[in-house]
Order: sequence, then C-alpha cells, then structure tokens
Amino acid sequence: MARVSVKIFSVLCGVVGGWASALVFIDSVGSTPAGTAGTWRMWDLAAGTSSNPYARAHFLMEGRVPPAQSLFQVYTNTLDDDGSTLLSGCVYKISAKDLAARWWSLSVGPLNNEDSDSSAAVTSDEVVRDADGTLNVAMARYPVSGNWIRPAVEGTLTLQFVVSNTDGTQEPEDLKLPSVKRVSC
Amino acid sequence: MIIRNLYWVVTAAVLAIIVHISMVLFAPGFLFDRNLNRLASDVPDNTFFILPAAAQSRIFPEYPSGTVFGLCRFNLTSGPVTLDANLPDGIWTLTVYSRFGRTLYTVTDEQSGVDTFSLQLAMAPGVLDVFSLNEDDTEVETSGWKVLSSDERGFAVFWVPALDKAMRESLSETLSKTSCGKAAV
Repeated sequence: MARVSVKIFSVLCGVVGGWASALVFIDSVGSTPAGTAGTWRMWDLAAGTSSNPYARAHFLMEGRVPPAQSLFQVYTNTLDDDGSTLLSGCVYKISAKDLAARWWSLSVGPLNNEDSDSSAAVTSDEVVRDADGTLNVAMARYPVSGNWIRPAVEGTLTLQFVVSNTDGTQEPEDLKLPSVKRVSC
Repeated sequence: MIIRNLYWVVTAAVLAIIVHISMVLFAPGFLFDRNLNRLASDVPDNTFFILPAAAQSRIFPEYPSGTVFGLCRFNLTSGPVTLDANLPDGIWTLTVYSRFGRTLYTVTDEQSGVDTFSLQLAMAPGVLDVFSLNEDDTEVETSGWKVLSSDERGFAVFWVPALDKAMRESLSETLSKTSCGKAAV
C-alpha cells in the first residue's frame, strides 16, 4: 500500500511540478526589465534560433498572436514607478518625452469585450503633445481632460506599450519608456 | 528511505522536465491553433478576411480597436498559395506565421515600397527533395516574392493602423480587396 502511495505521489509531484514551473517561467523568463524605473518588462520575441520559447508561450497560451520582434517591440507594466501594483481605483499620470518611434500604442488591460465604450488605448496618431513635446496620458476610470485611457475592468491592471520597430531608428534598449506616477487613489 | 525510493524521485524529476518542456514548447501552439480555429470557424482555408473587432480584441488585445487586421489562414497541402495584397497608402505590416505562431516572414510598407504585390507561399523542400530538384524548379523563386514554410498550415496577418475608429471602415474596404487562394499552375 505504502509502495503504491509513493508511486502516485511521485507521478503527481512530477506532473504538478512541471506544470507549475512552466507557468512561472512563462511569466518571468520570457521578459526582461526595461526602462529607467525598471518596472516595464520587454518581451523577447526574436525569430529563428534566438527565439525565446517562454516569451512566445506567454502570448500563445492566452490565444494571442505574438508580434514579430522585427516589426514591433512589446512592453508590459503592472507597477507604478514606486513599485506599487496598478489598480483600477487609482488615477495615474503616464509621461514620456522624446518618444521617437514611427508608431506606438499605449493600452491598459485586461479588456472587457462587453464594454464597447471603453477607451483603453491611445496611439501616436491621436495623442496630443505639450508644446515642448512632452506626452502626458491620464489613466483613470472617470473622464480626465487631455489624453485619457480608461481601464475596462475593476482590479489590477497591466499597461501595454507597443512600439513599431519598422523604421529602425532606435534600439529597444535606447527607447525612453514612459514613467507611471500615481496621482490619487 | 530516500535511497529506497530513489527510482521514484528520479521518475518524478524526469516527468517534471517532460511536462515543463511540453507546456512551454508544444501546448501553447496547440492552444493557440485551437483558439484561432474557433474564432474563424466559418472561414475556409486559403480565404482572406478582415478580422471582426470582437475577435481582434481577443487575439490582438494590445492594439487599439480602430486598427485593422486582415488574415489569411493558408493550407499548402494541395499546392502553393498566392497572396495578392492590396493595401492603403501609409503604414502597414505583413507577418507570415506557422500554425503554431512562429514568425516565418515579415515585410513593411517601407521595405516593399509598393502597396500592391503578390506573395507566394509554398512548402519548403524536404531533405530528400533537395537532391531531386530540377533546375526549372528554382526559376519561380527569382520571379517574385516567395515564402517557404516547413509547416503546411499557417496564417498571414496584415496590420493597418487607423487614426481613429471612424477610419476603420475605409481602411477595411481597401484591405478587403486583398485575396488569398491556390496559386495558378
């Protein structure tokens, strides 16, 4: 009886251990810290032999298409500059300067497909910049004057910053990523 | 005690490694393929279509809803497939993926210099086929754009950003002139 228990326990340990470690690695090993504050994470989606299977799995597991790294660089952020988790109940100011990409998109997830009024994204095409070229975007559940993105769900949030690489003007490491400051809660 | 159960400890470790590798390398691709099948269940293979906004927010959640995505799920079982692209003037990208989300080919508006072009998708020759190739078989490769895939199934994705949601319809109309079908012999 004890012998059978050991066998079952071993198999369970193997399956659960392999499954759990894969999930942890997919979320952590596929990305590297980016930006000055270090709260943004850059997904390593290079093609060919240098491709990172954990980064690809991160997108595919959620049914998402992994962007080709030669075309787009994807950054995600779940923390503000002070290291606190981004929450839907708070108001944040996202600022950037000298963002020289040909096209970019800043969005907040997760999305709510039933909330069609959600303005969860702002792009380089529609954003309004200050006279000195500075970019300020407010992230809040309620309308804020100026550039504004609205989380579609309650709870913890993830900022997604997609930058077009097509013009090749900047290396991903050189890009000045936006700062995320909490204004109020 | 440990020595007696060493065999089962090793078994658990090997099982954990197998499950981990399967979860990272194989499961995401199959999950993604199943998700794509569900989203485009009514669209036959080798047919170009504009991705509806609801499906778009599921597989491309980091892009704003005004963005237009056109897809062709190709199947090379019965021969090469030709993608006749018709794109609006401005920024666009084309990415060809294997069915499991691996990037095979990318091109942008800046690289191509044209907004209408043909791209042939064909099966890559196997190891044995390389030895039996005739000289004529290589001629087509110099007469146009050709992507060789080692996977008989995959999908091509056109991405066209819009200034705002109102532009989505006109961009979709232009992009919908793109076709995808079995190549003429």
